[in-house]
Amino acid sequence: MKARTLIVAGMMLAGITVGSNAQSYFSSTPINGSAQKARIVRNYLACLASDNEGTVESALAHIAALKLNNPRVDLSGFDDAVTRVSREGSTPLIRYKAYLTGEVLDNVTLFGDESRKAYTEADEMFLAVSSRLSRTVLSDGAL
Amino acid sequence: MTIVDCRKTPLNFQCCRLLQRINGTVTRLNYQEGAMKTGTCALIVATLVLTAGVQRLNAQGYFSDVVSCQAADLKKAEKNYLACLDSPNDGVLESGLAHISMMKIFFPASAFPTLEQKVAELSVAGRTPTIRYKAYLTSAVFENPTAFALEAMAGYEDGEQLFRSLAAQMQAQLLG
Repeated sequence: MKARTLIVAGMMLAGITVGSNAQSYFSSTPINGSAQKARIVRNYLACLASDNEGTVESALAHIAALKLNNPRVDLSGFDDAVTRVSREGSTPLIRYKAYLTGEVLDNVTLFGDESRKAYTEADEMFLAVSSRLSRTVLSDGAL
Repeated sequence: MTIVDCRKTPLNFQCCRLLQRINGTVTRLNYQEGAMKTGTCALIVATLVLTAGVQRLNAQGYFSDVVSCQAADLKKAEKNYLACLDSPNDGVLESGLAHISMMKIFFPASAFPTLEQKVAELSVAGRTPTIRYKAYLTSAVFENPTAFALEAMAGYEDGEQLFRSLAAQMQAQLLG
């Protein structure tokens, strides 16, 4: 292969790699084993107890994404903490995001379309979840 | 369908365009040179404006307006709405939530602690996603009623319209 062809091929591969990394904010790697799940739950619970608003919001987003990507995995270990944050969170935004996360944990089948999307940022996912909830729950008593 | 013939003068043309914007009363306009005198046209326009106003008033049927609410016995209303929230009927409960939201928007300074507590419980433990979502939106109204003050100005045909409006506003305010 000529040197120039090699360089073009290399640049294209690099472009594909960069492009695919930019696509998704959340990891789509499935939860592998109960030990890993326990570690994930422990870490995110610690984040939910943080005084830092960004940490709490980020944890809520990752918990929701975790459930969307692993709908059959039991993540009930988050239920109490997420409910507490939805009632006692320090800002309206945190309480709203906690409420949306709670609905994803409770009723993940409602969000089938949202689980197949790749989000570039956390708020994009929350917006999609919120829109789905409004469309499904508030349209002619669908549920 | 109401057909208005009017002169092709700027004044009449603007009046008719305005009416079209107010509501759909004027659905077709015939612009014919000299078809009607300006005075006659003005009379029709005034009548249509009045009709549009009456139609709007009649359309605000689902919730009581703020004037009627001022005369309401809030203690009694709170007691009745609490009974609604305990109902085994989903429709009764959801309707109660809609009316509670509107009451809080109308009376932002009044405290309804028992209702607020019950609504907060329903947002977490309501028996359907619809009840939980509507209860959550009602909780948001309790938390910051003035943020939803514009909702009181709109006329809703049913509770669903109100909740859709509250949800859209929450989404816009919090998630952009």
